[in-house]
Amino acid sequence: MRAWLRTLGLSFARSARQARRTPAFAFVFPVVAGLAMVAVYAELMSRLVDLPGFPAPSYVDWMAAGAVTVVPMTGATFSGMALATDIRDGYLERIRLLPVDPIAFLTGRLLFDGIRVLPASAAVLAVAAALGAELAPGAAGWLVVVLMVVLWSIAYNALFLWIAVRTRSPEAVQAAFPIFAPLTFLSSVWFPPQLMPQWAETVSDLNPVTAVTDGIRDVLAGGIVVGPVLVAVSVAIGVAVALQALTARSLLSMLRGS
Amino acid sequence: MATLRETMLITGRHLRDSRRDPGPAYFIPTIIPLAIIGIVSQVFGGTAGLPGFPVDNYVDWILPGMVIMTGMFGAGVTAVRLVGDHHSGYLDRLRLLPVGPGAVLAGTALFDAIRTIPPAVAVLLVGLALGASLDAGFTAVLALLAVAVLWSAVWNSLFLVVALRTHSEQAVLALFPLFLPIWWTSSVLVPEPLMPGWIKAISAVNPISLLVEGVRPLALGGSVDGAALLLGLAVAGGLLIFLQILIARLYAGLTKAV
Repeated sequence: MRAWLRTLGLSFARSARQARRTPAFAFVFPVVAGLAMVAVYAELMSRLVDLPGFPAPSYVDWMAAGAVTVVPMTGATFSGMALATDIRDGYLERIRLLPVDPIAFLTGRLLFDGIRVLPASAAVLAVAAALGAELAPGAAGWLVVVLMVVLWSIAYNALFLWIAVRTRSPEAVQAAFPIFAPLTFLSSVWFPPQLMPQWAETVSDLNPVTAVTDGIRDVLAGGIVVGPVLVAVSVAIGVAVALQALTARSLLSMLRGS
Repeated sequence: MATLRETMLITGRHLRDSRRDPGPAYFIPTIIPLAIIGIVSQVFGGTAGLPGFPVDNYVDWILPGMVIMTGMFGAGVTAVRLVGDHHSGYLDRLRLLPVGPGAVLAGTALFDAIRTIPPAVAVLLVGLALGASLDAGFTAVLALLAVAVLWSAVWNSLFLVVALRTHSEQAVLALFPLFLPIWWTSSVLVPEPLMPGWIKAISAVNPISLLVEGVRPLALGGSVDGAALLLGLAVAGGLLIFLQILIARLYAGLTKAV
């Protein structure tokens, strides 16, 4: 167990070093879309609040949580591309010669992805608050928001690690970047599902992105609400564990087969 | 007309390159606006229910702008190729041949204009399938395509300027998200009377707004807004000439310096 944790720690530190060397990719890229969403898009669409039944006091209130959910999604190519490059360059082959568990290696990467997006998320929320979003989660609520963002980032980055292991191609990981668009369009990120056509509302209700966004949104609006938080946390953990299992299986069979 | 022949040769080379690697030149510029027309116009369709919104069907409002914007997605294809051609020595080899810089630049701009047509037509067809009225029929289609082609040449010229100044593919790729703030401060998604003041002020001088406002009335069953369209064409044309002069000067410096 101690060796396992040591591998995890080394992998975490290696990710952090890679991020420091390519800060544009690791830290700046995730923040661009989120900032544009709260600073420009939320202003452009501010009149949406006039729609009958709009469920938030202002559109920037609605968008603050959506933009936070999008931050890890627009930053997810960093880790996937690094892993695909590791595979292509033979780094993982070299790991086989060492007493190292590949699962610990993957988990270290993902844990770093969890905290990597926190500065970007904080910047997005600060701008949203400056533009009038009423954020009142309370001290414990802020901790829960941080927890949900970290878990969501781990879950979504796990998807890109899976793509990296399946395709072994940094280009394929990069090409998967735009899937965040349909995933968020058909969720509660941009538009309230109760104002969508019926089919879209149904899809949105089943979309894990909606579960996470709603959890973050409810806590930001007024403190911890147990139900939505439990849903958000368990959806994020479920997605992360399922994808991590798929990734581990592919990785192990790849390392055995070669 | 040796120059025309050389120009067509350069355009032909771009067309061949794009057939071999259709992702950046055709696939990405089709998939992004298609996702926006196919999903956003439906899922966010409630936007057209805002008091004072000029049309009932949201797809009617956003289709003209999304057609005009198609060339912005996939922007930088030619700029990245130019950087590659510079690094590989291809541009130096051209100097040994009777192919002037004018032919290289005109052939490239012509390709950027032409490659916009298939995605723009795809976006138009999906918009029509979703019930966009396009009352002026064929005239509206031709006007929209003509403006889309012009705007694609303008936008891609900007990427060529950056490519020639930085000689860096990364710098060109980093420019891609620039479409977001320009899109979200235009009247593509929201009519100007429903915008907050500062966005309205930007939209009034945003070339995309000017072009869309000029052509959209035609699509909605009225006639072209001549004043807006003339202003839009003048601004877009002026930008194109200005950027092409910059490109020509940078290109001359590039091939002389060797």
